[in-house]
Amino acid sequence: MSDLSNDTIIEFENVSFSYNSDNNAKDNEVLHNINLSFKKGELVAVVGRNGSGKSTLAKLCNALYEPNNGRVIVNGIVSGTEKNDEEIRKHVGMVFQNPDNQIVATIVEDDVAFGPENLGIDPLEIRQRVDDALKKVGMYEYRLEQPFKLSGGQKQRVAIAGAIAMRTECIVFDEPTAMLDPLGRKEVLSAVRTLVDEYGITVILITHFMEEAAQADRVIVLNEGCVILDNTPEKVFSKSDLLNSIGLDIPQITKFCALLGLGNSVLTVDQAYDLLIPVLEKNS
Amino acid sequence: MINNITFGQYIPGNSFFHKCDPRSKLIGVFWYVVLIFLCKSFFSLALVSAFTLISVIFSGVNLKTVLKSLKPVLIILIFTAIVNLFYTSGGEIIFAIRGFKITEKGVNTAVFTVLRIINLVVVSSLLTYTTTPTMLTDGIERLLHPLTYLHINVGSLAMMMTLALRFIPTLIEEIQRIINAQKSRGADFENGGIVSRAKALVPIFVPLIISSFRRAYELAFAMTARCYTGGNERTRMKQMKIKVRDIFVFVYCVVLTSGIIVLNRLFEAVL
Ligand SMILES: Nc1ncnc2c1ncn2[C@@H]1O[C@H](COP(=O)(O)OP(=O)(O)O)[C@@H](O)[C@H]1O
Ligand SMILES: [Mg+2]
Repeated sequence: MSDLSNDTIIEFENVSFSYNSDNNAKDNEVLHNINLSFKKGELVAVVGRNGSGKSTLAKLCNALYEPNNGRVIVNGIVSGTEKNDEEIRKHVGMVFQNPDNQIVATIVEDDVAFGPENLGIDPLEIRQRVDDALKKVGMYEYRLEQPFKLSGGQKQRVAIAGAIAMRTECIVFDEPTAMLDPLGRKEVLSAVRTLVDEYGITVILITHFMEEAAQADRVIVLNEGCVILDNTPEKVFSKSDLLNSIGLDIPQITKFCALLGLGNSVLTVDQAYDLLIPVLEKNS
Repeated sequence: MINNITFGQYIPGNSFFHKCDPRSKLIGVFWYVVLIFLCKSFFSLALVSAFTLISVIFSGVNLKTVLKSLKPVLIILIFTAIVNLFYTSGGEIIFAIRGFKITEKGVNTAVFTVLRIINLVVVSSLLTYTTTPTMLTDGIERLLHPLTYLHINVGSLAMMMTLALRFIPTLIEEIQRIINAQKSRGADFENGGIVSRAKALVPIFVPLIISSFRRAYELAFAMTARCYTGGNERTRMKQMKIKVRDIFVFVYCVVLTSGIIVLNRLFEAVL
């Protein structure tokens, strides 16, 4: 047990990680001395270019990997032993990038039931959780379909339902929209939003779409295994030079408004609209 | 070609057989297959065929779909028919041309064998039409449960089966994609002798195997993340229960068995 305040769900303490734990592990470390804490109910976006260690960070969150140095603590449980790791996975669920490689069963509802079945939950309760989870992501009508007949966005929503049905307090999404078309991205994002806003689930959203990150409560920027920014989206995206220098962009709309001289804290089209309309009306 | 495999695909429904316990269906089909091979005369085979038709009605699957399931075995059917037609001799000669003789016995054997195969395929595809792969593997798992006393992890075996079934469509899609990719680079799969065609398959299977390993690696993470441990404490959402309707399946098989025994006694054997 550790001395965490109650509203922290995941805590990284001086975490370092490398894939081959040989003697010269320091040289090929993928994450260096990470200190982070995720609060309950937050929507946190993690951005960074390919190979910056985002997926590794995600897998550390639910004990799929163990840190080489430092500790990862989830609700007071330190990862590292088999028993603790299994317990941690009951608190933190995960949705991966490729829906095809995470759907286990041949029928949608059976797949959603997979997690709760592994937890040894009573059949009637599983039924309830499955129906409930499928309704939350809007896939209830498809419960008897075969996953391979669904679109990418629908498959990904099934995967999300699979995580919801486990009733974890936190779900880590590793680039859930990377393989989807714009419509699929929209579907998945709105499902993610619902989780945070209506069900109070903590979400860690790894993404390389800055527009998605702009909707988060907090944005963490990773570069070469280090956290270089960790702040509100307004503050993070106002540092466009720093972001550009590490190969990242800022949301299009933020750039647009900055060019118009409306400041660099505009994150959504709606905000831009509210700012622009008075200016346009004054001019005409 | 590989996109329209209907054999072995579950068709959602609410029929009598859909509601049956997978275990009784598995045992029933196994029993039925044995019966098909016990038929000796056309009369018993006719009885089996009649029962097969009734089963199709009980499954709620339309006849067209059932006939479609015969398409993949059509070549086998034709081949069997021809071989039996020419190589079984005995009885009256019906037709002879340049040393090839078609005899009465040959015709009988050919028809008989083809009917047997048709019954076989139809009945076993009814099983997969009316049972979700999950229920099927759960049923097999339960039927094989006694093997756990021999320290065989039946749960893992069943999980492997589920995953294999789950990934068939995904891999078919993948093969198609690789074929297209190689074709667009100028690969030629249609021309040339057997050797060069076999060689042309290498660039399909190497990427397929590599990508399958990648999938397996990711899948393992996804399953672990969802608390799968391979242990035996898993529960199931869909419980299995033997009901009156399952007893009916057994009665059905018993009636058919007695019918076949009687007809085999009364009529002369074909083979
Ligand atoms: N299974 C692995 N084995 C060895 N190295 C890996 C493995 N997975 C990722 N890496 C390396 O770790 C670094 C971070 O990867 P990753 O966390 O996947 O980054 P991101 O998700 O941000 O693209 C990369 O340099 C990558 O090459
Ligand atoms: Mg990644």
